[in-house]
Amino acid sequence: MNRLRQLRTERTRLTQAQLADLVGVTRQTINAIEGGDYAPSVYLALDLARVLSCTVEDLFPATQEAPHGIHA
Amino acid sequence: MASMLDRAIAAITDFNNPFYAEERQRDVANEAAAFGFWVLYWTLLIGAGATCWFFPEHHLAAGGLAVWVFLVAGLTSLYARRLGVTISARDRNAGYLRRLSHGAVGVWLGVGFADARTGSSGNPWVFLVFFLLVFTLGLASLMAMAGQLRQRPHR
Repeated sequence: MNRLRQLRTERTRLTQAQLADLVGVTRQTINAIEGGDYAPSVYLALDLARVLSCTVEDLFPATQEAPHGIHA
Repeated sequence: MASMLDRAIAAITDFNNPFYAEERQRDVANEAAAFGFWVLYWTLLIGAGATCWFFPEHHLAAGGLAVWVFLVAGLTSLYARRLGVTISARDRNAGYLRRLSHGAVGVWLGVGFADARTGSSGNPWVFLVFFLLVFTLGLASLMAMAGQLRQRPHR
């Protein structure tokens, strides 16, 4: 599960609608991302991270090991 | 400079509409369109087959409809191929039910058309049972697809 809802409420106290306006999507999209029903594009993830002053990795922690041969 | 095909695709799909700028709206709208395509695909093919079997005097119109459906399906594959995606690769991962449905509808339609073309008369009860079998398979495929769309937890 991602941490968008947690970081949105703790860091900025933005509503879903306000965050949606800032990154140029609909409130439903923010809701879907927070609920784990939609994986955003890299561009939207970067926009979300910029607005919430965090990294993409903070928002979407890796839940699986990296593919074979790729090391962090 | 966009080719005539590109201009035609842009006119038909209207992908330049600002609606599609929102990525999730675009994804969902395209999935809904795909679902609608498959509903049309199955209902038109089954309808064409039923027409051949039960209203053989209209078999030419039914055959034309089936050819049109296959042409549109081919155009869909070509569109994807232009963008580097081979849709037929999906069929290798499809379940037996889906593949069986395609084959059954094809045979049912083909035999029905040939039968109507030659004017021979078959046993309508056999055709009815065959129709119900094909219809059930098609409906089951649609329901399975709808279930996959509903249950997919994460994209």
